[in-house]
Amino acid sequence: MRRRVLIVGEGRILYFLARAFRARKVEVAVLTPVARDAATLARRMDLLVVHGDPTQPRFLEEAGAGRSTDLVAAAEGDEDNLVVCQIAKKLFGVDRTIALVHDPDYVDVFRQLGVGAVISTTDLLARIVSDRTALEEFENLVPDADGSILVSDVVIGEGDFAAGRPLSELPLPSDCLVGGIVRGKGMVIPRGGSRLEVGDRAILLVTSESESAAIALLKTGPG
Amino acid sequence: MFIVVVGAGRLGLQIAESLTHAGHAVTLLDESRNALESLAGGFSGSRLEGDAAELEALKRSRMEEADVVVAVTEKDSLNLLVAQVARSVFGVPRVVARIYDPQTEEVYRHLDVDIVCPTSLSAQRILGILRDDPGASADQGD
Repeated sequence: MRRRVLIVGEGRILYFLARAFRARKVEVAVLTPVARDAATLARRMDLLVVHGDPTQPRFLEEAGAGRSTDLVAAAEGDEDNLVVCQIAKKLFGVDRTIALVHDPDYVDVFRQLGVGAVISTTDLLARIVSDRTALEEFENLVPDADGSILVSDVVIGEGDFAAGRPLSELPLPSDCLVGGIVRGKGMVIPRGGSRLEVGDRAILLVTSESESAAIALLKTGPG
Repeated sequence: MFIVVVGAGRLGLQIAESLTHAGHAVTLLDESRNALESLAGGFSGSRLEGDAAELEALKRSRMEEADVVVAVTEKDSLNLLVAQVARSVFGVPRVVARIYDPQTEEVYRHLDVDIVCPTSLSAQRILGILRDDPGASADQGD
């Protein structure tokens, strides 16, 4: 079945979502309870736009929920997004339902209640802001370094010089330190005798002047 | 029994008052302080101002301790959210929700929630009255 996305909700997000799906060659239809949004969309884009309360099954039907493979519920009310996704799935057999929620506490609850995917914009923004803070704190650890110390990572490939060699035998520049080795899902804190294996990610603390020399050494060896 | 009533419209107010008169402990939740204050003096339960669409507000109503939750806001979707959260998250043994749209009611009929649809109820009652009235039964065709 060809993909068809039904976007439900209100506001400018409808237009930009519709445009994004259109750019990916996916058929799009929109259902909105706001008359003005419906009129604007119908004027700006050539697609099926239905004006009606999306929590009432008859409007979902009119917007072609039965022919849709995906539904994105982006209404203002979390309760509307829950009910729209549930009705779309139960009554119209929509494969994949995605709900936006404002209250992050509902992410797990809505999933438990049968919504395919739940996205909390509040959560996303909060996480970005707090990650940013964490990053700034980290940068403060090297206040005198003038930004000249880098954290760089190198994936060790088949045939690389460093593969299988103990760290103590690698003539790395003196201003470079292997601070950690990411192996599978774990992290190894290296000692002199630790070996780098194929597939490892070596985390380097290195000055900007020596970064390329250090990477070249790990990849191709001295020379 | 401890009963949480969500929605202080006409129906919610009437249910909350009747239940307190019958001796039950009632908490009435609504986002409008005005609506909560319009309860007559006879109401001895607690009033809680909060948005029923926020999980935290439902938690504050001590819903997890309730024997019964009655979801009667003006919005079908909000009543469905509250009813499902009451059952699935808080494990409330008995949940009643009002749903205006008969088509929506049908979708959720399998749910472990008692659904009251005023539209269907009124239609049945009106048709019943017409059926009992010999003048109208001829037009009804049955």
